[in-house]
Amino acid sequence: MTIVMISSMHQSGREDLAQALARKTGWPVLSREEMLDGARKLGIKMGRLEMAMLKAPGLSEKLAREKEVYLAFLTATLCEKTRRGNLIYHGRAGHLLLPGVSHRLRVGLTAPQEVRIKRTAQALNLTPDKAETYLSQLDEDVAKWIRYIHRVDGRDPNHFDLFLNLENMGLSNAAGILCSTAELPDFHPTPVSLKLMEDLNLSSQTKLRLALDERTLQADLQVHADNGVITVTYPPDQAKVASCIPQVLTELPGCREIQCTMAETNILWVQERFDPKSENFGRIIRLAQRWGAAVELMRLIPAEEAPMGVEGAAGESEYGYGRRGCALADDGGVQDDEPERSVDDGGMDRTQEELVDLGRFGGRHTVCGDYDQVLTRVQTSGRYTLVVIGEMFMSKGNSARMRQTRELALNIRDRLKAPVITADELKSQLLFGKRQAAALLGYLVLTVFIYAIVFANQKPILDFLGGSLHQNFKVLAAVAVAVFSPVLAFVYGNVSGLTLKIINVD
Amino acid sequence: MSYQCDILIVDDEPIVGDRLKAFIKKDGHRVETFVDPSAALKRLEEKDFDIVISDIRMGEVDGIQVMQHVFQSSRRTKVIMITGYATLELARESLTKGAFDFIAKPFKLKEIRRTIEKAMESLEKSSPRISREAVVG
Repeated sequence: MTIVMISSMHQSGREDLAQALARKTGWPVLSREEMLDGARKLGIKMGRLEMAMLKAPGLSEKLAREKEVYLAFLTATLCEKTRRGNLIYHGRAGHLLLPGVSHRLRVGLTAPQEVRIKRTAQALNLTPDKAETYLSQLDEDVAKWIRYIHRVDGRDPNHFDLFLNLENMGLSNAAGILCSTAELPDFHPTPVSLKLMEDLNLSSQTKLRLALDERTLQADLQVHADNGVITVTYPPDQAKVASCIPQVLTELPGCREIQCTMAETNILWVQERFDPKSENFGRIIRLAQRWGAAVELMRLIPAEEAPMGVEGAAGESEYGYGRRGCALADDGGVQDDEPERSVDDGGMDRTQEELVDLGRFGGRHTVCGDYDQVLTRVQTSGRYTLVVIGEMFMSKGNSARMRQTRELALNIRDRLKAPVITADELKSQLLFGKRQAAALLGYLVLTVFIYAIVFANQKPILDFLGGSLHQNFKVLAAVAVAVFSPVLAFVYGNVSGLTLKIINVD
Repeated sequence: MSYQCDILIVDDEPIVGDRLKAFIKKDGHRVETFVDPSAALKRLEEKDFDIVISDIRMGEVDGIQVMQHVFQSSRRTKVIMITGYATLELARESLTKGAFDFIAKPFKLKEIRRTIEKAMESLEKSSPRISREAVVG
């Protein structure tokens, strides 16, 4: 079984190369366009996804979810097709699909710009100038698409096994190179790569089933498949969907066992305004990725700033979006308007989108009022591994803000019995940065110095603690031990703690 | 204040024309709908419309051809392309060939209203002809 993934920009000859290779090998060809048709038939809003690249303000967490479903569809389809044998796939970024599978040959293809312009001009009946403009704009759009869908630079050579330039090479020779490269043992399936394909297939099929079923489409579920065992993890406040999951996944081919588990490692992030580009976001994501945790957002709108009619004081969980109700057959694709949402959502939408994109979204809440409402909401929300209190009480003075933040942290800690930390403390206590590296070095030098002093002066020290000198300085010896022991424990403790942080043990 | 426009809608799915017509007429515009693109082309030869909303995939005559036909008789007309098969390639092709905007189905009605408003603004800037009949919105 060999999988050849040919990627290129528009009108660079990827389809021709795929066909030339197919003629040489007899392997079936699958194009991105066929995939798109399949995705549309499933109800995946491909048009919205594609147009989001042209109309950037349209990006939203809904699209981020759509993207996940699309990727699951691509993966599942490729896995199914290759199960029957070899496959040649060509598209914009096929080389980024089936990540980790070693028996796929990832091919990049380029052609001279003038050739691309000529082909475009002919195909679309454009003047060469217009064709050039068309290509340059499209190349930008496609690069943006790849960054959005795969979160990498599509032209990064690290993601290719082979990159061909058709400037001085005929299609037949290029296909010959691909043919002989694909026959190398390096690209033959191994038990490990075949197992990875099976796991990828099963997890993608599971994601698709869950995303397309009305009972589970609104849930934020993490899916993992290993040797036929599917683990679906859901956030604590979406526990209602747990009972539906086995029903939705009934008779899923390849599934031996389904395990539904509530996410144990949840980080609750409480803040007044969110920004996915902020330092706090970066810190929390680093921690969430390290722990494999979902991040739940809770926004506090101070009572005096609460917009009328947005939400009650008790706050509500916000999952209200329907994704699959988009079949073109019902309304021809012309949908009624939804009620306008609050314009100022405190950055929740953008932050949620980013979290969904990173697979770390664990829910969101907005609470209007003061911190009593936060406490009530927190208590009913579920279990948390960590609660991070970000920038709160921003309208207050500095001292009032610090006092109220501290009080809120203490109250949450008392009620939830969960560790509570401020965003400022997050870095110093749980993450390892330059400052921690400097501290580790300092404490390490101090520890070595103390041990060197102690071991170089063992005789006088032992004399002072229990020998002839001790008789004259009994009290002083006791005081020295009382002071020295905790100092050494503190210094050595810091060295150990910081070292453990480097290896991600908290 | 908004202005009345002559809008032609062509989509081979009758429901699209029906829903759009009912919605757009509420804003005071004059709307004609066609499910047969050939009939739409004939009508376009008889009359210059301010805005044409056209589906792209429609059997024998596609939306790009409709747009090119529109531009042969009226360069000022704004053409809005709608399609359930939107891709970046198709959108860029439409825009390069002169489409005013490109909207992927499914879309919300407010999206088409916003696009029509933008097209009207553009028409007003490029030609005073639009200002012929003011309607209080």
